Amino acid sequence: MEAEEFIEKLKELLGRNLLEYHIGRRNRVFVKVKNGYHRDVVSWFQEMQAHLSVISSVDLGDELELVYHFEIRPLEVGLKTSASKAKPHIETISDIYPSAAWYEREAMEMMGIVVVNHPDPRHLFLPDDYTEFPLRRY
Amino acid sequence: MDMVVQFGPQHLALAEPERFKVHTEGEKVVDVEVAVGYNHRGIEKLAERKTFEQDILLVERICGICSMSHPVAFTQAVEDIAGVDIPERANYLRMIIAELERIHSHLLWAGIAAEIIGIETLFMYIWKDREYVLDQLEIITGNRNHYAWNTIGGCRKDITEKHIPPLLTALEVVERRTEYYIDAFLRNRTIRARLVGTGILPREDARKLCTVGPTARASGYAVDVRKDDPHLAYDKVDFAEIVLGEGDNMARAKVRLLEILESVKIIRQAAKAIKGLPEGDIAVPVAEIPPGESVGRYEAPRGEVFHYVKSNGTFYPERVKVRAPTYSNIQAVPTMLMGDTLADVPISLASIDPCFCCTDR
Amino acid sequence: MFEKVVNYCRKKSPWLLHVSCGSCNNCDIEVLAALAPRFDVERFGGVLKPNPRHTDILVVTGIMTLKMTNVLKRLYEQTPDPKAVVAIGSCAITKGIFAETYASYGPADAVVPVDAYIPGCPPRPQAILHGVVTALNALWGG
Repeated sequence: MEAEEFIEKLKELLGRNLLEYHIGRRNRVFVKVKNGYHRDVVSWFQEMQAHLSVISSVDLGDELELVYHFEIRPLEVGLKTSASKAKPHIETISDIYPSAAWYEREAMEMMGIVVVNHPDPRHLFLPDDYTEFPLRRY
Repeated sequence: MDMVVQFGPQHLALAEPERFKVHTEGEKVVDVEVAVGYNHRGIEKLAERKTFEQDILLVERICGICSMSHPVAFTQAVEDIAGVDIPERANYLRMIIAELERIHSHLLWAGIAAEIIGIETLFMYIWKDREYVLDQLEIITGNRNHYAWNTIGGCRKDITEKHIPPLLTALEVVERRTEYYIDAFLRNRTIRARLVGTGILPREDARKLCTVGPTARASGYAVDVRKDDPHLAYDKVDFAEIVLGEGDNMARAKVRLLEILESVKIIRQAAKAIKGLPEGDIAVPVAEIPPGESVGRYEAPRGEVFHYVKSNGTFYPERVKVRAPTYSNIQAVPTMLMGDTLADVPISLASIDPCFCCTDR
Repeated sequence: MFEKVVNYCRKKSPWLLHVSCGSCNNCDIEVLAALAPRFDVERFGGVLKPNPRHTDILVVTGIMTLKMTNVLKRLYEQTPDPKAVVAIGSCAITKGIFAETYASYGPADAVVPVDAYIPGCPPRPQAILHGVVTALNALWGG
């Protein structure tokens, strides 16, 4: 699927819940969706047998963002969704993609995002008694 | 009788610290708990405090064995943000060092696998032959590992006419010895008894858990960033993607050994190609990195290395996210070990070629 | 006199325990490469053993991460006297390029007493052999 076709299909699926999109060089595409609607997109990706590479967490200042990196050949898609720092709740996708569980654990301990309905929200890399969020900047 | 056996964090089988709790019923494995984080060094946070150029040296030291993987993925992401195309010669130069690294990493793995099975002689033979590759890397780049070969915009040093003949001679020796090792692994009855039929990862599980690299390709799940997302000069050279179906330890060993031969082919073609390109044209100047974000992917010896870089227009990155292949592959380990005996656990663990320093960063 | 004989024997057969406490694994691979035929530490009597109770020399690499430091302390306490600790690589000596990280308790000598330092990133196998032999001579030789 080409980048423009992918964006059109995404617009059909989400309507106004697709907040922004950007098509970069070499088939890199970044899209931002409203919090709560990312699971629909991930389910659609699952039907297309997309490959989940990793989930990144970003500190935007007022908000905390999760970027889900999928490969849908030949595109490299970054699916973003964010929540406010006061209530950083984003729902899990580990029931759709089991390997997302570890990436979400890392986002929880490093950035302080609360992943709702996560099956195993323990610390992954940091010691169990570490209370700060190292990757927060603002 | 139920038992819990703990491997690590300090153990002889794997050089790096991680903890595995293996639950057994008798000799059969019924569950595996993996605890990581013993090697966590906070690299992503450090990367935000150093400039883009300094970060190349930082990400190089995420891992000592796949030391070229991280800088290439990182510089590709940054060059994408800056919107530059590096010279064709730089692509070939990066590719030659990358494939040399793949050869030495796969030989390293084969030696460690032989030692874990108990055949120390083969470990000694393989590591002796690995030294020929490291000699060439040292002659070309100046160091056996941590080559400092990349800069934003290309390479820092060139491969000249006088480097090529000793490189090709060394590759001939490596190719001949690798064929001997492939024969040893595939035909020796002791090695076959240990590797065939153990640590099976079915194709559907490999796909669902999004494994990468030789671990995925040995189970029939064909992912190879060199073919799927052509970068460097991989679309200009001819090589085969090795995909097998059995998904056991022997398949993973076979994929790696056959890939060494493919890497030799790639380096020979690249060495020929750079003869026609002007010497010295190895980098373009990149004055500043505008705000933006991009993704750099690279096929390391262990699988897909993924770098997400976000820039805010200053000299320092806003965010650097690194995902090494073992971070994905280790989640397939419980499936692989289920049902096998306790004695097969070390070799099955080693067969994904784990690099915990990469996973923990 | 007896002491001299014992020290001579200790010097000629050092059993090494290698502990990686948060390294990039390069120093660890160079320690293993020192075992390989080209550099061959076994001609000095050195072997790598997994059991701290059998150890003469603790070989330490890495930046002493948060989770691994207690493990290193326990291994150090389990190793019987007389023992030596050799810190290999820039990370174990000064934390190297990771000097400002939040995820470390300090270089190796902040955690265990170190007897010999082998600098480099990574130190070549020849440097590791030279360092181990120098440490042996300084501790139990002459």
